Amino acid sequence: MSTQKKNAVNKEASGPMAKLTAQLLPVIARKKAACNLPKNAGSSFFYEIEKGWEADVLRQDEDVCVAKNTLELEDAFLDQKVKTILIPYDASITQTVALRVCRRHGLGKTIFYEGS
Amino acid sequence: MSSILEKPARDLSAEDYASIEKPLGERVPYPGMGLGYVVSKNGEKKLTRYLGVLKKPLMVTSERDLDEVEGMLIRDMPTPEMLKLFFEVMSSINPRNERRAMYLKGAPGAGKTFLGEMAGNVSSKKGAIKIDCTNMNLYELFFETVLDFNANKSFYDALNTKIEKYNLAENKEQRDQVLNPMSIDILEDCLGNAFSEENGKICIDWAGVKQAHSNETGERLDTRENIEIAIAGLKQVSAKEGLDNLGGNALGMASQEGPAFQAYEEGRVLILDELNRAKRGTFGVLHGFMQFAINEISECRVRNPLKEKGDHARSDLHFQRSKMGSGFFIFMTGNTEDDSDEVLELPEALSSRVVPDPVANATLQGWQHRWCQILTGMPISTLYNAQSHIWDEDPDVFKQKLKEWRELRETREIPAHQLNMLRRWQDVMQATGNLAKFMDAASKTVNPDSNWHKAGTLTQLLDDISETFKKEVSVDFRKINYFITKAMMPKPSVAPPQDENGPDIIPLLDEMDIPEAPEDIKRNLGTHITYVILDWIVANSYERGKEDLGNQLMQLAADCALVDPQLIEGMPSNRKTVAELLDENPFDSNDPDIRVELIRDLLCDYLRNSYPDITAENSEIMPASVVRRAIDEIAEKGAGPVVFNSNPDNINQEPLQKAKCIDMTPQLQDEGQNEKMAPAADHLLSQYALLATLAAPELREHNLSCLWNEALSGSGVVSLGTEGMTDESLAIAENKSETGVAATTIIVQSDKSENEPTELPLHVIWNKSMDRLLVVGEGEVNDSLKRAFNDARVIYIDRNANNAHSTMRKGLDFVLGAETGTLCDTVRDAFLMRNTLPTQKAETKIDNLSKMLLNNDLECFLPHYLAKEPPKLRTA
Repeated sequence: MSTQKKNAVNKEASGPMAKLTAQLLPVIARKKAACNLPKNAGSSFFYEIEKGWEADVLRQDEDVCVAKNTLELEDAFLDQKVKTILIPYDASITQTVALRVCRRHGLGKTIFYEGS
Repeated sequence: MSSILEKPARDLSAEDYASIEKPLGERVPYPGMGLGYVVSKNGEKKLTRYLGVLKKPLMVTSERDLDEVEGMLIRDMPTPEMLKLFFEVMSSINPRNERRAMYLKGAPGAGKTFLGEMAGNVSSKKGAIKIDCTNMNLYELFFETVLDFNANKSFYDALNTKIEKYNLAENKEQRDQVLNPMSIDILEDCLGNAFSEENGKICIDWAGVKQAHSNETGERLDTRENIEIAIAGLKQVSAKEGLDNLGGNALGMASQEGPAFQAYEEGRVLILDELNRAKRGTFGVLHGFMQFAINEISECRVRNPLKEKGDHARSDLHFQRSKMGSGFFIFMTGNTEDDSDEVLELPEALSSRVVPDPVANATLQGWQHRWCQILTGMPISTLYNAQSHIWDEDPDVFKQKLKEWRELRETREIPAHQLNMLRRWQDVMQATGNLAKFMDAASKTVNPDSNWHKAGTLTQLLDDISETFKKEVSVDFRKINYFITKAMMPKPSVAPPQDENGPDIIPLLDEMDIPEAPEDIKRNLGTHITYVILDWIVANSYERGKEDLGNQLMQLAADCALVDPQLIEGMPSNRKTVAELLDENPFDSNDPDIRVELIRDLLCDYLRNSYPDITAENSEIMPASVVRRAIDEIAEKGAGPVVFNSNPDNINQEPLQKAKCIDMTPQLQDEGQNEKMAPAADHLLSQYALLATLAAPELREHNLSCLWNEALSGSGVVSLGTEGMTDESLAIAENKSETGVAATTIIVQSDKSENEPTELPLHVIWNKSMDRLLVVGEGEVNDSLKRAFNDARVIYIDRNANNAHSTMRKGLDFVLGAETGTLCDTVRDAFLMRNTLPTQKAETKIDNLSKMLLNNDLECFLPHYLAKEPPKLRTA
């Protein structure tokens, strides 16, 4: 089942409280993940985050593009609609390369790099 | 066509122009640099630039909406010295301007590239195309060689899949089964810096393969050479991994249009960074192209030297004005020739066409602007200085505006510390002003060509500073990022040796400054920035045998409040240091929620002290709202002293408990009628109960105010002063002194009294004007209270500790500040209004006071008790 469908099912099956939680959770997860100082990576903010619920919520967030290899990361940078990118812990992208790609692209995005 | 800027200029309609011209400065007060005469008091006029706000909007060419343009340009505002060029760049990008190129030349780190990127990002949603021309064959702006992914898709897909499996493998054995270890070595060799390995994970930056290698002298190889090396290695990997059947034995390359043509077609800004460091002998290709860009010719062709038989790429590129995207603009940057031997002079035919605009040197305003921008994401100082008269009228409006502009159409997640710092913008202004002064002066000190050296004021340093040294330690705007990055890294916390005969060592970083989690460094960012700057001074001066330079820079650091002048000159100071201003101190927070949370945390620590087995989180023990309500009640009722409740049974109903002050000083008006009864020792408040509240915002001021009264004046046993002048000692003893200093002794219950409760005199000196506190008691305080005291500017001294005397001297300097010398005797006399002590002699005034406060034989003859409520009185 696709992520979008899963989200839709969850929303349908839940009450108003759960609905509110579903709306607030991504916002809280982003705020929590952005508590640290970002690394200087071109115009982008590069946040290192630990494996945990924040990363899980971000993974489910439709507004977050998940990049699992460098080609997907490049595509995400070229896509003007993408503002936030999550590089999950199991992605084949090292931090060195992720930072290099950020610096190569002038436009600023938010990158969450999930450590192992 | 998705963007108006891709349309040629001649095809733009009036509506198109209306939609891409955004009036900057119409809705937000945008700073600008004017040129005018400064008239001195004696009427002399001097032509100079001045910072103000744009009176007439600057038309910014952008396909973004005005909110986005304003948000980006306020946040990424160029430094004041670059604002003039900013105005020119933004005006030049307008499609009506036929000259589509600009060349900025100046010192490294001045912000030239930043300006170009900002202009490109504002104008086009795709942003600028930035090319680092260092050692670059400039032909590759037009044609470049790449791996032919399309022709060999199966191979690359298979290799990527193997890499993904390799990264998911759990151990070496599994990894070796996925990829032959020799293949990894080959990939590393053939892909150069496009290959990376970290924590057992490998990664290929395919888009970076074309620029992966340098030769033995560090010069970048052409894309074709890079691709040839890559293909040779990939073929070997293909054979080893059994991918030949997927085309791995016949990998190919392709030539494609370079970034110059992409920018031309898409109507984007092309940044040619470090142009005069490009590969020697390759500038020729730019002649025709620059003629085209500045509209000397309406078209030009660039031949494809890379085209081979079977290559589908064009044989040449045809640039035509009539087809050029209207947003196309070439923004070139270069360093001055004296910067390095690698900087080339541009051929005359080229430089006469693109006349360089010189970039002004960094100024104090520029330094502060960049510090503010990097710390908060906003150029607070420039926004403030451009119209300080307005913001001074209502600083809160400025605070709101800063937040509003910081968030205006920001698509990135704003770091939490930036918003916190914007709330304390005055502190940030003060701290960055000092940091700017330091950086400006340091840059001139380490540069033998600076005006300071030319003026002959630093002749003693010339032996310390060679040309090589100058380049190594040069201080430009990039140093700010360097310092911040270093500040965020973990640092060693080293305990100095406790040798009695050895020197007294004060570590720059206390163990309390090194948080458990490295990312928590941001709370003490000021402390850590100070550390890295001082570390930089030591590493580049004293440790390189440059004693004079070190002394000069350390003096500078003291002048700029990076270090407490006391450490350099032994002089106490009232001035806040950069660390104090920038550290995120919850005690000083203006946010009521943060203050209440701090009080709640202190309360929970207090509770844990009595019940160490509590494991619940603070929020579970006590909701912040309950604490808020209790604090509000104190404010409303104006009760006496209050302390934390340590009774778990009713803590949620009454987080705070009342206490009572009982001053035994007899009063003339009583005439012996009402003899006072002292409270029993077991009903005195414990020392810890009072101390815990002294680290709590709101409670601290409330409780301290309760410790002083007018009993001494009313007792008739002390002199009120002469000729109508209040005795200064009495004023200090009653918290009425205009110096802001108050001193007293309070009797509490000793924390050490395990079996038999005993009384304990607690000496308190409070400097209200600096809100600093010195408390002398008995016994150690726990680590969490120590940390809280650090934030709350409280120095606590255990009078029986081995180092009590030396700590006391530092404590007196801290609490009395610059007034230590003049106030010591008066403060001592203030204490003697309630206490007596055996005769003792000391050499200095400070020793006199210090020894008295540490003396266990000091006897309090007019005791002022702090008792539990209701107090149980002693039997007569």
